[in-house]
Amino acid sequence: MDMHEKDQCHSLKSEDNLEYSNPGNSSFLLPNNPSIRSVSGNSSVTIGQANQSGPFSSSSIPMDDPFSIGFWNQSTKPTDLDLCKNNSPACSNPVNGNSSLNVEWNSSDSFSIGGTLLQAANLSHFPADKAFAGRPARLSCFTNSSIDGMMSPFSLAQSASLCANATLGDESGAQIEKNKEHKNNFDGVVVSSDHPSSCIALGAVKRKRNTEDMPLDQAQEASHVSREMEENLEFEQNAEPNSPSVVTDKPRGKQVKDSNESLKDEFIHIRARRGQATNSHSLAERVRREKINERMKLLQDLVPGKAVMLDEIINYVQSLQQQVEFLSMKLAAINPRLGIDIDSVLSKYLLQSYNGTSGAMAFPSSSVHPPVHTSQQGLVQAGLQVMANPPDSLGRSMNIQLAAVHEYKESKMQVSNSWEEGLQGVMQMAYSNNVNLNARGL
Amino acid sequence: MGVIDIMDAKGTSSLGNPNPNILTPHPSKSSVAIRFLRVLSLVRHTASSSPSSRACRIRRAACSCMAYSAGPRRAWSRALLRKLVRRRRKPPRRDLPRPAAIIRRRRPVGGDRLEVALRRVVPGGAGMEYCRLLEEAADYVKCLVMQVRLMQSIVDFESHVHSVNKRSEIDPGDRN
Repeated sequence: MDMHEKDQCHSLKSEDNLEYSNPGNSSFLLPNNPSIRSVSGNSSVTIGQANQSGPFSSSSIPMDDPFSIGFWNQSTKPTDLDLCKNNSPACSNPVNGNSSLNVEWNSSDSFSIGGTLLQAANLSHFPADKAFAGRPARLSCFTNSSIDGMMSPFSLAQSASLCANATLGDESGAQIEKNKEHKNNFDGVVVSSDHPSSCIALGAVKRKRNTEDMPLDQAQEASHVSREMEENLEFEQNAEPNSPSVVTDKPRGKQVKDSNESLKDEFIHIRARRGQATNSHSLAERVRREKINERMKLLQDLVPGKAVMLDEIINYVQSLQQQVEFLSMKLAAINPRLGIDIDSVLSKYLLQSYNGTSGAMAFPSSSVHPPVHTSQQGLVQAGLQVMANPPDSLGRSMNIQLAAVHEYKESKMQVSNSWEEGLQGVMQMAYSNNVNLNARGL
Repeated sequence: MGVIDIMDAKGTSSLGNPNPNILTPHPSKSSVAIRFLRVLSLVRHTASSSPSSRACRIRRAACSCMAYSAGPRRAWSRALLRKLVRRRRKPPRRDLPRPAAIIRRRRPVGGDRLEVALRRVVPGGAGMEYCRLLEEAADYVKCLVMQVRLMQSIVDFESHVHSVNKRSEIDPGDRN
C-alpha cells in the first residue's frame, strides 16, 4: 500500500498539474488505491491521479442534494480515516515543493467568511471526483455521462478547487484540460468564478475550526477528510494563537459545536458556552448528554406514536419480537408449495430490473458476501451481487455492503416503478414455468 | 402482487435515514428478502417434524437474516448471530474461558430500570455503554420493523396464492 502511494505520489508530481502536492491538501488528494476503494459510498474522500481517466462510481453517491449539511455529514465515515491516515504521511514528502501554494491559499481566506459548510462539502467533492478519474483500473467504471448528470453543479467548482489547489491561476485551465482529457465534465473550466467560492469554503470552515482544532491537529490522524483538510489549512496559519478551551464568542460557539459534532466522529470539540463552566469534565458531560439526547430523539422518531419514555420503546421492541415469532409460526403452518424456486425468480427479476435501469453502473465482481446457507449459492450470489452493488471493489466487506446498500437506496426510488411491473411479470412467469430458470444455472 | 411489491409499497418511505451521521445506511430490504426467502424455501424443502420446530427454525432464520444484512458493524447483529450459533451447537454448555484480552467496561450500572430493560431486550445490550445502547436499539428497531413487514407480506402473499389455488382446485372438481 505504501509503495503504491509513493509511486502515485511520484507520478503525480511528475505531472505538474496535480495540485496534490499541496501538503495542506494532501489529505484528500492521495492516490491511495486501497483507501479510495474503501470510500465506496463517500463522496468526500477523493484522491487520484488526474491524468488517468475513468470516472469513479462513487460520484454517483447522493449528489442529488449537494447543498445540504446532511450530505456533508455523510462524508464523515470511518473509511475516510484510513484514507487520510494512509495518504497523508506518504504523500507529504514528495509534495513539499508547493508551499507557495499554501501561502496563496491562506491569503485567499481573508475574504471568506460567509461560506457555509456546504461549500466545504463542495470542496471535498472535488478531490473525490478527480481521484475517481484517476483509478479506472481499480474502480468500477462509470460513464462520463452519468457523472455529468450528477456532478454538473459541481464540475466547475471542482475544477476550480482543483486548480486552486495546484496552481492558483492561469494554468488551471490548461492543466485541467490536460489532466482531464477523459473527463468531459471539465472542459472549459472556469476557474475564476469558482475559485473564491472554494476559498470561501475553506476559509469559513477553517475559521470555524480554528481554535479547537489546532491543538488536536497532530493528535488526530485518523479523522475525516473534512477535518483533516481544515487542520492542514490551519497548519499554514500558525500566526493565530489559539486557546482551545476558552470561550470567545457565543454565537459561533454553538454553531461550531454543532458542526463539530456533525463532522467529527472521533472527537467532539466543544467550545464552552458563554457563562458556563469551562471545566473539562462538565464539557465532556455536556457532550455526552447531548449525544444521548440525540439518540433518544432518533429512537423516538422510529417508534410510531408518541414515545415519551423509554418504557414505550421497550414495549414496542418486545411487541415486534413477538410479532416475528407469531409470523414465523404462521409461516410454518402454511403448507409448503414445492416447485416454486423463489431464489431463481428473485435473482432473475433483480438482474433484469437492475440491468434495465442502471445500465450506467458496472457491477464489479465483488466476492465478498456474508456466508449464505443455501444450496443454490451461485444463483443467489449473482442476485445478491446485483443488488449489493458497490461502486468500487474493495477489500472490506462491510464498507462494500453498506456503501452499496446506500447507493442502492438512491437508485431504488427510480427502480421501484419498474420493479413493480417487472416483479409481477416475473412472478407469473415463475409460476408458469420454473424449469427454464433452473436450467439457466445463473 | 408480488411479495416485494407489497413491501416496496409499504416500506420505501420508512427506510429514511434521519441522521446519517449516527446510523449507518440501512441494508436494502431486498437483500433481506432474498436471504429470507431462500432460507424459508430451504426449511420447507427439508421436511421437518412438527410445525413448532419448523417455526422455531424459521424464527431463527429470520433473526439471522436480519443480523446478516445489518452487517457486522452492528454490535447487536454480532451478538444475535453469536447467540444463534451457540444455540445451534447445542452441546453441553461449558463456561468458555474468557480471554484476558477482553476488556469489560464498567458501564452497566443497573440502576435505571428502563436502561436495564432495554439492555435485556436488545441483543448484546449488556456490555455497551448507554449511548451506544441507544444507537444499537434504534438500528435494531429498524431491522425488526423491516423483518416484520417482510414476513407479513410473505404470509399475505402466500395465503392469497393458497386461496387462489384452492379456488381453482375446487372449480374443476365441481364441474366434474
